[in-house]
Amino acid sequence: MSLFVPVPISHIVALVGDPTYLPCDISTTHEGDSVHLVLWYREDLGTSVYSVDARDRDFGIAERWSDDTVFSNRAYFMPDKKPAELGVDHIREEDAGIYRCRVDFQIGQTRNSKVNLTVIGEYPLTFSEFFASSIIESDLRIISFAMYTGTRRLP
Amino acid sequence: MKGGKRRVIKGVTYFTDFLETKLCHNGVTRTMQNSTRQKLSLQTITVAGNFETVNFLLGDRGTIARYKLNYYLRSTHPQRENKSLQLLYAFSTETPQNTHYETCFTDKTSILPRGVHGLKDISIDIPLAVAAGTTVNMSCGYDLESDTLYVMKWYYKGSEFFRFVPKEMPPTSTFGELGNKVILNKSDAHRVVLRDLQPNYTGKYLCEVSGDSPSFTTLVDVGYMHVANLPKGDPQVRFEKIRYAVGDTVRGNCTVPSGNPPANVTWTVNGVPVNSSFIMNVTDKLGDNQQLMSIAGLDFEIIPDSFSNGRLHIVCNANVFHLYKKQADVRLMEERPRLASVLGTRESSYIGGAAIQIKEWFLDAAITLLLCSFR
Repeated sequence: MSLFVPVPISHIVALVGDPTYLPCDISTTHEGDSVHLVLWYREDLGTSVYSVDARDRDFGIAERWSDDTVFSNRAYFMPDKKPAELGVDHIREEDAGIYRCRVDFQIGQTRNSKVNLTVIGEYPLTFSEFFASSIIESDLRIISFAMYTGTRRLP
Repeated sequence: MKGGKRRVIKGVTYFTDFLETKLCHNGVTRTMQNSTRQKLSLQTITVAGNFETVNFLLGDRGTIARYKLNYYLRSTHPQRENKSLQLLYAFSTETPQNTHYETCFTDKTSILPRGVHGLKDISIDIPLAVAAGTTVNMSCGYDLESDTLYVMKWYYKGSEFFRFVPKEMPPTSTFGELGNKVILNKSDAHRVVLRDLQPNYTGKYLCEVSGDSPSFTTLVDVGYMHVANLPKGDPQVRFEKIRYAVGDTVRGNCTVPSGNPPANVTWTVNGVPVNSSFIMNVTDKLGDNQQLMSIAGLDFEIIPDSFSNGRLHIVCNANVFHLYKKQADVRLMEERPRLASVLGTRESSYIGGAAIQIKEWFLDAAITLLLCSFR
């Protein structure tokens, strides 16, 4: 989703295990306007990773949803901060990436902003490559396989 | 990966279950500890020739973060949506000193597609170029499958100018200057129609479609459109003279009236493309609109093979995308010594006929033809 030309981007660096805060300006610019939806996307995923849905209700009691396979119950939205923030506890190396926050207003223009989250582990993340060749009796024949893996802290 | 048709599919999610893991390369059957249903988030699937590359992230803590899988497609393209994948994969255990890999196969049915009944296949369809002032139809195709449309948004240079929310009344909203150009009753969940576009709206257009809760699957596609001010008038060619002998240099130019963007000028001589000796774009500022006149030069030496039946047919082609395609041509003649002795010297007839009009030694094509008929 690197297609939005003037989308502002902020850079956040976090240490593995720390709580991390991803900013997203949800302030309104039109009088009488209100936030309908706040959607967080990670650049490599089509589905949202976190959402605050206030379309049929007051923003204070908006429905909050967090993707089980991404932040799950580690994430919580803090609308009262200036700017608002998505808090993520116990940040993991695989949380690193570019996130996009999209704010849908009732009246105003949609606002997009991005956060580039870098996560520093105990050992620096290095990528190694692994190849294997094989043919498998299945619907699909796998003839080669490459794997990229990051170094991570052992439990 | 070159040469084949490339196709990239985004936003599909598969589930995998490693409980069925077996047949590792070291001969042991391995069952993952704490194995649960894992989500494989497909980043992209690229199809190139007979190879399909799958990039995905595996949300399994402590093992592998990113995979890249190349597999061979059988002669008929399998319906990915209905098939499970069997995956050869590897686990790594690492210490600061070394990395140990273990390769295993998953069970045939252990990777099951999910989310395949959701929003997919977005495709923007906008013209490459339109003439200023015209009405433009932009469309954005997508397949909702079982998803519900929450919103369709259109952006220009990063700013939303139109959105369509089926649940709202009215479902359409417009924003900014470009929003004022939207023809509302012709715009809907798949298209937006804009009237009277001017060259300042050249640029990147983006459509973004979002399904409804809880996943709000969102896909975007982008297209670039030029809004052109077309040249008002035809190109004109001018050449120094009309008769040439072997060894002479043909020198001339082609001028296209100003436009934005400037016209592309190309030459052919007796049907063969010839490079311009120079191309100039001359600014011609009209108010806020910068317009550019195109001038292309032609300069080559006559060799015995240059003529075709004693003629040189020179054509100047001026194009602005597919919107403006015009030509100007001139027919130059071979000068033969025998003819010259009968008709007198070239210079005398040339100057005698049109000396006043040809102050800069440039002959208009029309005048050239006139001269010929006078002989």
